[in-house]
Amino acid sequence: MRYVVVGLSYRTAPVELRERMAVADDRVRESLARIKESRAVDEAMMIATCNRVEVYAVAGDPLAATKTLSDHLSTLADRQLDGELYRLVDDEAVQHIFRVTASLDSMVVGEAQITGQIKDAFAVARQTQSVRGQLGSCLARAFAVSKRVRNETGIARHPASISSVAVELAGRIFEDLASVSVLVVGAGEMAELAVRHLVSDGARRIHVTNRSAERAAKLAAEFEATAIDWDKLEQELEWADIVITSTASPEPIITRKMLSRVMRARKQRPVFIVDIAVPRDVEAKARRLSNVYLFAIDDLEKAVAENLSARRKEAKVAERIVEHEVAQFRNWQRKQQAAPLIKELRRRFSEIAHGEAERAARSLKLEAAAQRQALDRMAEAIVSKLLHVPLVEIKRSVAEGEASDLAEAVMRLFKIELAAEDLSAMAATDADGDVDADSGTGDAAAPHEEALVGAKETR
Amino acid sequence: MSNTLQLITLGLYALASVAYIAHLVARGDKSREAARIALAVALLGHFASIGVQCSGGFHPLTGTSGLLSLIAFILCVAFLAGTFRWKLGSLGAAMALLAFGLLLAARLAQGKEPPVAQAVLFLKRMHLTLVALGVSAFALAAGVAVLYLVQNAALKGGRVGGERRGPAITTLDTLGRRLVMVGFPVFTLAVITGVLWMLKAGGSGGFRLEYGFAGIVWLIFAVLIGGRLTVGLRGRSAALLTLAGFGFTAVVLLIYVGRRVIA
Repeated sequence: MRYVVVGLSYRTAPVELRERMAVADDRVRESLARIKESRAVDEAMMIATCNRVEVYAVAGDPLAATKTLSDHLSTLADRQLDGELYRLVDDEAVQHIFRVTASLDSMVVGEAQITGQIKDAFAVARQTQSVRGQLGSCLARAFAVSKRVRNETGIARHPASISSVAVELAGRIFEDLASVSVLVVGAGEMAELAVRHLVSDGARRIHVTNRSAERAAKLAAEFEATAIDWDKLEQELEWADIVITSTASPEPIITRKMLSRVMRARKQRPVFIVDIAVPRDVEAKARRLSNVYLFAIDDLEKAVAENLSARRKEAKVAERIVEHEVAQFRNWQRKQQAAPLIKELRRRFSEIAHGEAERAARSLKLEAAAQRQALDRMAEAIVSKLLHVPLVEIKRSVAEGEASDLAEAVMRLFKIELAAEDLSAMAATDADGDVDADSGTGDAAAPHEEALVGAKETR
Repeated sequence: MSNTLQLITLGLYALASVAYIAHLVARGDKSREAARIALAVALLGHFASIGVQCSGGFHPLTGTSGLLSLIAFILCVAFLAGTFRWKLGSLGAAMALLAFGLLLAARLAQGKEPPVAQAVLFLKRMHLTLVALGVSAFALAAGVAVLYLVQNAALKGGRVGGERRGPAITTLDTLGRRLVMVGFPVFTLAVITGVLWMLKAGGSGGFRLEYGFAGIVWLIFAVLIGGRLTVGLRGRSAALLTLAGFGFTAVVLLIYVGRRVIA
């Protein structure tokens, strides 16, 4: 069985197309049911977010699977997709799954949301019973890799959005956001986003003021906050620890003079002001006042840019971790594929050895259980010693991707018959080298097909 | 035994300093942890050294040497405790080097203490204990003030990218205030016991430079506390005053120790 990924993302498709395809869980379930009906894939899961729509699958015939999945995604898009889709097989597919889960392929590298979205998609696929062992083990490894990347690199350490930078800055000024008071001046979308972040980080006491009392009341209701009269702005500033301003006022509404009065009244208690408005709501000169920490949108954007650059540096380390993990996973998977043969070989030898030990015990008229057990242990020891070198050799050849010739020889020598799917798994391991070279995007379909045909002929 | 332990402790502080300097270069979690362990081991050695001194019947606070050793010990314990709450690794090198320097000065001052009459021995020990506690509190407040000023400058200057390090500035301000609030009355008592000691000892020697500086220290911290309680003096101004206060404290200590070392 081979891993297959077919999908599109913000790298290959415009936002209009992605929006159309970012379907809810119900439609994902329907899609998975339809993919299963096609019988081209054995296991599948689908991730549909605003930045990517992808199907991760396990299939015996990757070519047929990529075609079916491409057709299915075209149906979802309501038009024929071609250049927008990428089609990945085997190691490239596994690597892609690992990279996406570790947030290395995200628009904002290192954002944590994608890992949660993949976990959700995996849960939906499990509910519909469209994933089993093979895809399950790949996803389990992907989650472990994602965790490792987060623990061993600083990829997620630096906030990478305006609102998260604002919250992070608040944390540099106030230790505990639960004990601070927040004043929201204006009811714009950015202010709402920043407040949402602050609330999720523990901020509780929130006041909202706006020229339109109605809009203030609406935003206040959303966060269980208190709406305040616009006229009481200066009075409110004396109380607030964090001020978020985002009005559409063409003139600054908070002047240096006003803030100077406010600071005296509040006995120089520090205040953190995030001015997201353009043009600015707070006079830039106010920044010079002691204990006033004023940040405009430009400052926050600069911080975001610095943090993103730091994340990109960390991403290079993370890519090396992913590469290593893909190789580890491949080796593990190959060893798993050799397991049925090894198990059967051992069973066959044990059966013969124990049969002979039993016969010897009878002819020697051994009655004592201890003597029979000793004979059994000797038989088992001979089997282990005889099989040691062949088994090591089988495992080595599987790990190096040369399984099928040796497996065939072993099966012929000892007349072992394996189930069809075990056989094809071994053969796929052997074909990996050829496929790796050519698998990739849809453009490489022809040489990829040749490689697969070649592999089948070998079998 | 005591002498060997002191030398070992000195070596351990040197090792901790090297570990923290290495952490400044490596900047990793592992290097920080290794440096912290090195400092903890040095502290254990230091504790054992003081313990052996005590069990040998020698009071650790009979002179300048014991005073410096105790200050180093208190500072490192407080720093180590702080590292469990905040990432203070970048301050570790300064702290370990300071402890090393204090212990080195303690060794140099050893045995050069002028004889003290039995009648004033208790007062002297009391004075030295209070000085050790007061100076340690001021030193910690100064360290916190430095952290505050660095963080404040970064925030005011818009250098806000990267990862948050250390405590929030309001926490630093509160911590600095509390340390000064604790240190000031202790230091005041130290001054009083010092004066009593000198008076009881016969008031010999007349006015010394360090007395004047000690008065300045007292005045600066009094202004700081008064300002905090009345007009809401805080933040950068408070941090700068704390540093000024500690600066003069260090001068007093240097003159005091210098006299013993040169003698």
